[in-house]
Amino acid sequence: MSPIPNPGPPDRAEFEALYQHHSREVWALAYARWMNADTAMDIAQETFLRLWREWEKGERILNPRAWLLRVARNLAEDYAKSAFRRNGTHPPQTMNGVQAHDLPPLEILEREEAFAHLRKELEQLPQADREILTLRYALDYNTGEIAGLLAIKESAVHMRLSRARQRLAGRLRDTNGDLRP
Amino acid sequence: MSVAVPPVQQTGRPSEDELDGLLRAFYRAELPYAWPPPRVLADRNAILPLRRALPRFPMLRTRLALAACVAFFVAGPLFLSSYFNRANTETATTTEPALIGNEKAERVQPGTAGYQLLQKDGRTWIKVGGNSPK
Repeated sequence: MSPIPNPGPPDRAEFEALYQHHSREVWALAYARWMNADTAMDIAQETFLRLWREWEKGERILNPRAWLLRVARNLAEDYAKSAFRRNGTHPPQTMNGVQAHDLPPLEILEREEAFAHLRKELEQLPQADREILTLRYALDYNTGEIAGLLAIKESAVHMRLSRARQRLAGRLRDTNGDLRP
Repeated sequence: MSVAVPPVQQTGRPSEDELDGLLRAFYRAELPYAWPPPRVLADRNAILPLRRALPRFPMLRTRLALAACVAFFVAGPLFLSSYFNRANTETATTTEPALIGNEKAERVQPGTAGYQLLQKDGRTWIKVGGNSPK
């Protein structure tokens, strides 16, 4: 999958098609790493920005999907070391006193509490478990699609998905958290 | 965006269906509600309309105007000088003929055929007409 020279300017239509087809997958991988939707979106956008720059340099990516997923994984790992994550763009106290436009209703608060508990348990799972759960439940991918994306066999997807669910259920049982809103 | 979260069994461990529903609701809530467009193209779209508004040769009109000004300043004096020279020549041939400095010119009497050299105010002027002097 070495890039080969691609004469001519980048193709916007092709780029948009790639973004349409694969941006959610890229987001899902980044999300599985950090369990943060905004961070995942930043990583996804950065991934596609790098693809565009590669094209601008005249490089053609033979397998854009695999390239995007690989770059997204690398960026997600690099994010842990980035100055942005360590320092942030603003000190935390900057956000003091900032409120949402509308106060969320009680239902949303309770749901968020339940989700926060689930998120905490998900963060304790191995990243491979989080990846497969994200692909299954965020993107509604079936085992065949997950197998294609992760380059593993469908039987392996079944096994990893089952184990991930068991581990998560076990953690939820152990913590005995009230997940009901 | 309301998301229905299924209840969890009182035993503490959610059933498979409940876990499915819980995970699905959780991840759906995490997905961005409106999927944003690629930033790299969005940024470029903010610039492209300005580029499209520019003409193909943005300096063409300015350069044409400059060239016209230069041409005017160069050709104007030439035209004016040639115009006034011609006007002076025409005036001289009709009212004040050019002074002949040719000493070999033959003086003839008025009324004689050929060149007629006319004496006017002590100066010699030529008036063309008739046959050449013999």
